[in-house]
Amino acid sequence: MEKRAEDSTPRAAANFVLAAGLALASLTLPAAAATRRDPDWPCQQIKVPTISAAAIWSGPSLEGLGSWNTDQEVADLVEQLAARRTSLDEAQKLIDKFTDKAGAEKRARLVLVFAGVFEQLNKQRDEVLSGLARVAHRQASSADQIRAENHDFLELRGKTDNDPNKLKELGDKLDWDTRIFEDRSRSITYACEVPVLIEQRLFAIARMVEAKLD
Amino acid sequence: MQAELIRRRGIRRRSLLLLASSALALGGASPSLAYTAYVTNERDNTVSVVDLDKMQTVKTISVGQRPRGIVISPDGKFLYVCAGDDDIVQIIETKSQEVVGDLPSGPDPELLALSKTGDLLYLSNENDALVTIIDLKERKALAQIPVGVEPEGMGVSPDGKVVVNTSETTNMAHFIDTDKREVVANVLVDSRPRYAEWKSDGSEVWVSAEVGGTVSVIDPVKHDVTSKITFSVPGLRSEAIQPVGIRFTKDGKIAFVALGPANRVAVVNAQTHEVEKYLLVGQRVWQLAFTPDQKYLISTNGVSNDISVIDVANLKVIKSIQVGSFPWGVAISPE
Repeated sequence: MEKRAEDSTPRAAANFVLAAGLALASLTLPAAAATRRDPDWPCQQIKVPTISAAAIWSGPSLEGLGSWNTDQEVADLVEQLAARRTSLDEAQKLIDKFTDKAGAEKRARLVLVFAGVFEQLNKQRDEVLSGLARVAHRQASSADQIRAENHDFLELRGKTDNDPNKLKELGDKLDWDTRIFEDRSRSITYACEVPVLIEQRLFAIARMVEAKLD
Repeated sequence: MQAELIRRRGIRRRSLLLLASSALALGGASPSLAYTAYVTNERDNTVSVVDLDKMQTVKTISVGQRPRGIVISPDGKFLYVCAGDDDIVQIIETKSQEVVGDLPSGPDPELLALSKTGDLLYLSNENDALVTIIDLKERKALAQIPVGVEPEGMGVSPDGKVVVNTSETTNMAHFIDTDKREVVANVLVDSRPRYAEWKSDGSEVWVSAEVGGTVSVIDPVKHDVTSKITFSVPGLRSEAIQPVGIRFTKDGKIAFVALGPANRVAVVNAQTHEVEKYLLVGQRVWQLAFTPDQKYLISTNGVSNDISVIDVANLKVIKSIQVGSFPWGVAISPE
């Protein structure tokens, strides 16, 4: 244990370098952000605020269709298609089955199905975007905190009569906060993929429904 | 591997027989030849091998990092793939479907084009503002030509005398004399030019501008932009229309332009320069390639991780085929 305690200063010093890098990143990124970056958007991907129906659908217009909720079979299908637990293979089967039984209004009902899935998946996507915005702000304040801790650590270490216990305490705190910051950064990288995954799903379903319109 | 090849050939032979017999039954309609499409997947560092007879991915080849530009030798024996983050061009033997060597490409190769004779490779080095010429037999670089910043598109003229290179940041099409190996003319186009394609009669070069949202039609003798093609899809923001890959039919009548995040391929009358139709393909459509008989046009769709097969005669998307992650470039076997 003592050995570990002895190691803590170099480790903290290494962390300092890392934290300094992070602090620098947090200083420079928002500067660039002022012109290019959105503070609500922590992802590398280009932010697409909403998916436009025209980008993924070349079927009839979704404007003025009325509610897709009033047709119970349509509403049930929308719910199943919008749920991410429904695989795309299952989605195809569900659409096939619905189409076979859709009757004379087949085309209009299929367009309603797509309108419903479009609305639901865009809603899911909005929630993910809001979540990402919250995380972006939390990371920005963590970076500020790490920068302040780093400053305190550096100041104490510079004093010849510093308290080694206090220095270790500051070093450990810096170590821990940096680790949390990095873990969160990694989760953000994964979370940033989610809007794209939803877009992919929406496009795939659009394609399946559109193929049934003819 | 050998067993798999034999099995695949067996399947191919059986399916050809089947096709031949069904063609006979249909009164002699000619069977389509089995072509293979090779698709670079930028994200997962692979090349997907797609059997266009079965319309499915039959194999995945591991390659270097960030594969993008891909071409196939005229005899169909070798593929050349830009592995941009590894700073090399890899050679894949199509028979064994394995990487058999590499070429000294210079840094960050992105797009490449073969000379008409098939013995030289022209490629753009994105980070170094250079076009490198490689002798394929000797596997060595013959020359490096300075061009604009972030060079990308490479189009070889039908007579092989001129290569047009586009530079993304300088916003120019650079005309390179292949004998002199120097830039002989620069033509300003719209923002972030991505791709240059010649009409088969050499009368026009079309250059797509991803950010500008246009295709510039250039007179290759006068080096003037003679017209600009714009695109518009109802309900879609103009920023979502980002032209990239271009292909002409052999008769020079139709051009196809991939429109990036508009998820569509535009069908353009190549004589009047009017857009006649938009085909919804897949997400972030990037590059295009015809089958040699021009029956099908293949598009790579980066975000939906698939390729679309367009029936050229009927101008219809008939199939999407899943490939790897972020498909970028595509080359199709000559037989």
